[in-house]
Amino acid sequence: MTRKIALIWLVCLCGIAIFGAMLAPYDPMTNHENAVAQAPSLTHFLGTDGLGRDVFSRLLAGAGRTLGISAFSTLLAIGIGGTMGIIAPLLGKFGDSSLVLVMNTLLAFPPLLMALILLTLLGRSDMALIVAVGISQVGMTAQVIRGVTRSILGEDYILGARACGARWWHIAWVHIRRGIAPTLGAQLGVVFCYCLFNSAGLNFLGVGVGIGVPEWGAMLAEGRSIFRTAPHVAIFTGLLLMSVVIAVNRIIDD
Amino acid sequence: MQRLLFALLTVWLALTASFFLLRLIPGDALSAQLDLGGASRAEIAQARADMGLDDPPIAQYIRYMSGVVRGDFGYSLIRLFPVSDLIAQRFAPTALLALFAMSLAVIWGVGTGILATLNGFWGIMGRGMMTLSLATPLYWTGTLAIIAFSAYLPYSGVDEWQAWILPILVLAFHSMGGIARVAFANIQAVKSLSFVIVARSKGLHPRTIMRRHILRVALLPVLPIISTQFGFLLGGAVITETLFVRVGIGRLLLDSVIAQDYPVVQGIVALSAMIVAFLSLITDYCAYLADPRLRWMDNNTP
Repeated sequence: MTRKIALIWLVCLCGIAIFGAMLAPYDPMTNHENAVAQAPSLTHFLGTDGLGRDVFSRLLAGAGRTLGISAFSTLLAIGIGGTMGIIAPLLGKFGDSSLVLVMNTLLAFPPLLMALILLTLLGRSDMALIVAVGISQVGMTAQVIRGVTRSILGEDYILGARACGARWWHIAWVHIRRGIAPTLGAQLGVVFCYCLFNSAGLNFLGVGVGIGVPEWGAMLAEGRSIFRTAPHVAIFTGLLLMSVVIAVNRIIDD
Repeated sequence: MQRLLFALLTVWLALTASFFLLRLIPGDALSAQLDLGGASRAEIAQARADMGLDDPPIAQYIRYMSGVVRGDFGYSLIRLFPVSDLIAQRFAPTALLALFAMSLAVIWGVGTGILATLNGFWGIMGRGMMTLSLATPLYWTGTLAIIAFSAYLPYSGVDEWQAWILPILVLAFHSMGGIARVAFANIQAVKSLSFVIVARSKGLHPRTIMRRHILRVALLPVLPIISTQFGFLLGGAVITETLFVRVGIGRLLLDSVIAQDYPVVQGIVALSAMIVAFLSLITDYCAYLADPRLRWMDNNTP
């Protein structure tokens, strides 16, 4: 039951991410000068922020950027990290140890710190944000996938396949790909949540998108600075962010 | 011993990678700063030459690494202080915050994890708290805490002890979820292992079984999580220190990144890589001491 609700909510969010800007009742960038920092009302469904912009419209318009950046960085992290994790145990002792060393080096940087450094390197753009946040999750993904791959390689049916003369790419494609699918699915959700937190976090710190661009992390930062006059900005934005993560976690729980 | 070498190798690789990555960025704080100050091109070039920024990268790298071994991380490009002094000045507030938050998070997390395995009301509470902790970003819980308690408690600065309460609680709540999840999953898994069934059939009290047999084994995987969570706390320090307007390493890092002051960024990267590597060594060793099965394997492998 809760699973069904979570699924429906995620589908709705995908719709909002794509069509959000069109659904918004107001222009997300317009300042309503006579309605600054207003609490929720009938005209402004979720109130207005410190510059009199409609919070509901900004949340809708920002969904595409926030969720899109997280989704693409997730794909990047899973793509690189997953490949590393599957390949490593197949490469023999030396290849495996060197890849493990690479993973450990990546893991030596706390993710947010690494993303912050990469962002300086790449400049400030959506693309840079995607790459920075994605790369910072590669180490963890690779480690998890490597663990599962290793345990699959220890199974008897792999020994059987080897005895039949199967090549490593056959084992990778047929046996590991199937065995790894559930873990990969769960990992997709976990990494997505981290990417969402970190990309919004970088925007919260003010090193991501430009000033005033509707994006949830940046909106939270605005909400933090005007928490005395308009606490609803931070509260609603955070609730939305939380609902996404809870829904994703519910889906990957089984 | 082998592990120690591996850890040192990791730290060295992390330092090397970040050194060359940071050198790739076009422009640096020095040029930008002098430009703003109206310095002429010749003066900028002179300053760069004085700091050795025009030497070939390999020469800079060798000089830097030989400095690091002696504990010298070079000079900040704009603050005119040695990096090690800048970090040392700000280390205590960040380290203390992380330490307090982590200690609280371990107790809170393990408690929540045990609670979550129960049936009925308390189980639901435990699982709910775990989910909430995992699903809320640090910067939001922090903002909520400020909204709710700013009237009663000071929340910025590091001078008054009351100003530490909110940051510690918020950080601990943030790290608690990950610990609770691992504890919860492991207690569930260990509950059905054969030695627990033996203990139960001997007629031991459920609480004794939990304390002496289940928790000992089930809480071991929590140890490595603590070292990763500590790494997150260092990353989280950037957010906490911005959120609660505190002095510390995180704030220094953010300012240095924005100002492109690489030597400082590099120094903080080095520090965090060392801390993470050191902690994972320690947690590995503790796991070895605590789990009789690991010791048994070591003594009995041919």
